[in-house]
Amino acid sequence: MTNPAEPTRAVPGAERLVKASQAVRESRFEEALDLFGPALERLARAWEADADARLDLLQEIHIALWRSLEAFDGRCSFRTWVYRVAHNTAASHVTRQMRLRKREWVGLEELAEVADPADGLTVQSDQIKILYAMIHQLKPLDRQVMLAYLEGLDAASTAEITGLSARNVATKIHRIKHLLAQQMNPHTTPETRDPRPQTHSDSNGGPQ
Amino acid sequence: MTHPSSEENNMKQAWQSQPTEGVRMSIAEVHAKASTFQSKIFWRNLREYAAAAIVVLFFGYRFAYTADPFIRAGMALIVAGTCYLVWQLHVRGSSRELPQEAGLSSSIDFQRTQLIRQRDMLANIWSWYLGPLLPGMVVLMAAVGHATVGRVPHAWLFTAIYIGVIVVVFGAIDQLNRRAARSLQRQIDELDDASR
Repeated sequence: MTNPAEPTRAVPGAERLVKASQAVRESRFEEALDLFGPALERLARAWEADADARLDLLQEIHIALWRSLEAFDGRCSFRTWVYRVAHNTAASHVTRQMRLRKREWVGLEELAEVADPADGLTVQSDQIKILYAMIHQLKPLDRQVMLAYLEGLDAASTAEITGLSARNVATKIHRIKHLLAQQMNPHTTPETRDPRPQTHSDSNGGPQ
Repeated sequence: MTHPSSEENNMKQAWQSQPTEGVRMSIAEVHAKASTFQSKIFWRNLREYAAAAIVVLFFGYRFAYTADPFIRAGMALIVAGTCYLVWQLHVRGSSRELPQEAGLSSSIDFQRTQLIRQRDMLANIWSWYLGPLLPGMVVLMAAVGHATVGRVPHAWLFTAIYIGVIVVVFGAIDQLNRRAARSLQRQIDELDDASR
């Protein structure tokens, strides 16, 4: 007769399955950091200007990624999954911070002037400083498109990560190019270079 | 003159090749940090509920030592309203941990879900926040007024003013929250437009 007080013994087969799925999750986590670790750091810098809060955000992204990988079932590409988790974590983080710091964001269409990029970043390039100064002012969705563009993701991947329509991604990328041209080369008229919205189709970086 | 696409590529290359610190958490660190986060959330929740606990303890204690049934009814309603409010805060409370399925939702879907939850909380503030507190406060004020009639000049007038102030303040809070809910609705509409 079975004693009801006796703890249920785990079935060895089920235990092996749990261990195997844990091992798969661990290897996926390591793979995510191998492939996207630097991109996640850049993403954290782009979402959080404060150095201490940035490290917290990066750790929050790592934890969210670890938790999410239990549910990863290949319905989208691994890259899309990692970026979605990272962007959604970052957007939640900065929305909380915005409420605390009472900051306002603007859209790409309103981003005319860049704030003083004196945010303590240790990156040396002026170009990069200007990019961060622009990104830190943007609304979450526009920020995500700009980061995806800079990371070299194609329009289809950007649309999949953000949920924006392909048309809207193309329009936003056109604005980004226009803004970047203005900021990086203020003496040239951007209209003369790239007057039409284009479908962003280059994919020059970032593993699939 | 530099070709635009070459400039673009240079910029992307500069972005992607910027030095990083190589921050990499081990799985053991992830587990340790996750439990620290959980513990922080536990204490933060506890602080939020501490104010409610003080209200419940205060009116619960006074309830036991008050003879007037009208005043006791007001105190009991305040305690019940506060308990209901805490339960609602617990149920509706902001999800501070990202759901496991965060990778399944696009950014728009994810933000939309969060905004809708916040909008509904603000738009329905009467049903879960103000409404439960109001009856207890009004009954208690009326009961105190009733108890002081004859001993304090114009007791009913002061009681009516106090109750009026409470109703006006609650109404103003409701209006502010409705305005915030409308602002969130505009953000939801923007997201809907962007996904079309």
